[in-house]
Amino acid sequence: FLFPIKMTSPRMIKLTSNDDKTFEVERDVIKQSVTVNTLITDLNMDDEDVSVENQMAIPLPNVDAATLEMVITWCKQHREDPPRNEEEEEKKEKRTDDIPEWDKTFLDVEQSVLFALILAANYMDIKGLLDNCCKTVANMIKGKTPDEIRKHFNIKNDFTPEEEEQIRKENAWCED
Amino acid sequence: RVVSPLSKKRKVEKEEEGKKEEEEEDDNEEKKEKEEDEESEADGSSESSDSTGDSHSDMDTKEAVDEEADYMLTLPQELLSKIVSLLSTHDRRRLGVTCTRMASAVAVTPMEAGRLDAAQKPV
Repeated sequence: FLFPIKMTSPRMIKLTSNDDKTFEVERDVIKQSVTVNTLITDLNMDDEDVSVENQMAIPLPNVDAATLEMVITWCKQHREDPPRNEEEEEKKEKRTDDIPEWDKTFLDVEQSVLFALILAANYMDIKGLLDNCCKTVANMIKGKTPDEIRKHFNIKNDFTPEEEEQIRKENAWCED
Repeated sequence: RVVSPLSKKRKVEKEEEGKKEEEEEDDNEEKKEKEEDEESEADGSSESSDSTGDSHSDMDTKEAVDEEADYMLTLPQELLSKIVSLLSTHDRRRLGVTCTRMASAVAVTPMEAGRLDAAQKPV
């Protein structure tokens, strides 16, 4: 007995970056973005009668094409991840040594790219990506002296001499 | 065929106008050529000066600006706090003395209760 198998192609969603580049992403991949997911639901874009060609592209005015491409790559890699339980995540001990190996390599990029990814993950509300990006930055800070942190992140010391003196006194105990 | 004196006049006027226009066009073309020559000379001189190091200096300044950008400070307070929340007391203190933005980010981020990796301030 042969039963007809209905072959359905994956539902695609169009996203447009702030530099007018459009990406087609599988619905299952981009569902990790709460912002995009909410928009799809609110705009009834899950309607299967509408073809991808006739579908409206979701504009992402805070994300450029290069960053959006990276976000999509990350989402593709993590599409099989179990859904996050935010309450449990809050209760968990905050660690920074539990970044998956793939993410470590993926996030080993220039600071401009890493911080653009943080902003994009925050805007698109992708908790997993945001957490791993923040952990990567925290790991960069850990164990460094204030001068080393300033040098690493190009931070200018904008304290007045009086403020600096006071802060030095308050924090003398943690200085090496 | 009889040609009226009026039409003769018009012909002559047209011919004269045509000549004038041609002369004007020639003048314009000559002017344009001269301007183009002058521009190309100027470009050539600027190119030669670029090749002597001006282009390099431009590139250097662009790279320097890029290198000096403090991307971390582009983050909103909420995200800085999220990063700070992942740090121990010791690392927070060190981060807090780097600049005023970091100081306020550290100040507004509550410490997790019972963190064992935190350095304790001596009593």
